Amino acid sequence: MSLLKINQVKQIEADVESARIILENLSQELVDHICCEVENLMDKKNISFEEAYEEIKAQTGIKVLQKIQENTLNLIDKKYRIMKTTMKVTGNVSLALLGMGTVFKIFHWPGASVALLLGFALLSLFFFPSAVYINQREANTRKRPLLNGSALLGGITFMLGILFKVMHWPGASLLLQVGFLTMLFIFLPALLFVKLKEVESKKMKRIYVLGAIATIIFEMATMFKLFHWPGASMLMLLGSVLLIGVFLPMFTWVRFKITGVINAQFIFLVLTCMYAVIFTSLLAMNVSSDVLGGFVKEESNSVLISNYFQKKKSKQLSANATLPDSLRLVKEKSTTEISAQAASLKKLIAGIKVNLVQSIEGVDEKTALYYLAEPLLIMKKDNYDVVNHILLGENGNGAARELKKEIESFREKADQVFKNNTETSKSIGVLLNTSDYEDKNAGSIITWEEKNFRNNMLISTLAVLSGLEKNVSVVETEMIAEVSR
Amino acid sequence: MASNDLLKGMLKPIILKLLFEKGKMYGYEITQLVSEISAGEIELTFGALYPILHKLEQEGVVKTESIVINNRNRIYYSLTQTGKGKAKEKIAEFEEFVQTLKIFFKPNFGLKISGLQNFGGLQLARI
Repeated sequence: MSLLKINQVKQIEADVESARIILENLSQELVDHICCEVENLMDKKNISFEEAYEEIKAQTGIKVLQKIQENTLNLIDKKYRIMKTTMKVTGNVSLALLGMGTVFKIFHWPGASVALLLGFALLSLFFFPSAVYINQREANTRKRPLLNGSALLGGITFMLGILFKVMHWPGASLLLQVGFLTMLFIFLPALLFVKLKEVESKKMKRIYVLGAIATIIFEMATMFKLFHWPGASMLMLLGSVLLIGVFLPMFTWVRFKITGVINAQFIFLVLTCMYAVIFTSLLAMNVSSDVLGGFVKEESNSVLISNYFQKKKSKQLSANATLPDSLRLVKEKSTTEISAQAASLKKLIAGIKVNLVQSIEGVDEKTALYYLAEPLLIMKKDNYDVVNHILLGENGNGAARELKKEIESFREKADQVFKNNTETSKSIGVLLNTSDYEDKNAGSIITWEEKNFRNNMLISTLAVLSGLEKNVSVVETEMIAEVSR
Repeated sequence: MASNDLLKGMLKPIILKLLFEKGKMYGYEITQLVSEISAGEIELTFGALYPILHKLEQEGVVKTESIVINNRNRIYYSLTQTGKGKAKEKIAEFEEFVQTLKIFFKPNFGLKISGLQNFGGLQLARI
């Protein structure tokens, strides 16, 4: 009867080890079993160890061994079984919900938010933790609290952050930042460390380090872009070039040299990388800056028109000054009153604008005024948390309420002036409209404050406020012209 | 050769019976013996065997002991005290089941009267 030599047993042991069998008894049993099979075959066919093992290996590949471990764990470990079922069920359900939610959102059908909300909640709170648990049970012989912990924390906060951002809930930025930072500075280095321990060749080690650095730079670029910190474009360029131009070709080449084949999984990985780069570049770089740029233009236009009407008003006032005293005094009384009310309204609006920029950009009043003159300098053009807080406050006690009251009283004044001129009166009603808005699709009524300021980004809120300033100037000038007649 | 569908549920009693008879066995030995006794009719793959053995161990029916043989660890399984009682129980239960099963596959269900009318149409349909 043939007996395997110690180095032959070692070879089989190494192969079983590569299947990462974590149950110690099971891995010993599998080694013994395969050894027995090989010995038996060597006797039966009178062949060498190599030939016999080659034949047995075909039936005891890594996938087969892993399947045995999975079946064993399923039978003996209730927690594993529950986690695995949870992972499969919630993974599929959340994917379906997210897909549906996105389609609904694109078509503006009702129910999109509910689907997205449920999908994200399932994904981050059930699927992700169970997947991390299963991965740890199946793949690692040792517990790696740093790697798994950071993957868990980073992943969950990141996904919740995206959910909050999509739903316009406060705190999205904080969650995203925590998620990003955990991923970048704990998870990725920990992963790199584990990978470096696994691979032998120096060349591969260097490539892994390069890949980790490229990924960190690329992710940092995404984070910078998301929070409108300066330098995002440079990082994005550097990251993409490193990732696509240097890391991927080198990795492919070395892998190909070692294994001799390129498998489907690898092709998938490369494609995913490409997509990630294309999407982030397209979405983050161009589209959003175009949209925000549009609002910047709108904002400057409003200021220009306001200035034009201010000049027109001054002309009218200086014309009034040349009138005979008796007439001049009467008219001056009305014009001063109108000007005072308009000025107080404009002061209120300007104050809100400065307050917004100061709070969002974290700068002093002087800088805020400078930013308002040059809106392109504003960094966090898309902040809406603070807009909600300042203008709407809690239970509608924000600045928008007082603003609405002031606009209404100014409109009443205008109605008095134009009480004999219904056409102009109507136009003024449009310019200074503060009535509730009826959403015909949803069948609900939204207040003027909510409609204009809820979840409105800083830059478009500034455009709305400047538009109001402009309208006040127009009405003021018209009123002065009317009373001067 | 018996199909996998038929084997499901029968492996556990078979393994228990073997351990009951032989006392102490290791995995490869069990698969070989099953194949030998059944003249190749039942093939117990190692993929099916080891999950069941681990489950039995967890239930306290069998215990393991590790012995170094030919440069490697070999894990022997044997019935525990409670396992012996349980094995007896299972084997008796299984024998009874096989006897019952046999009746079904006799011509006319082993009854002397010919014709199926004695069973009544409804009951037959239920079977």
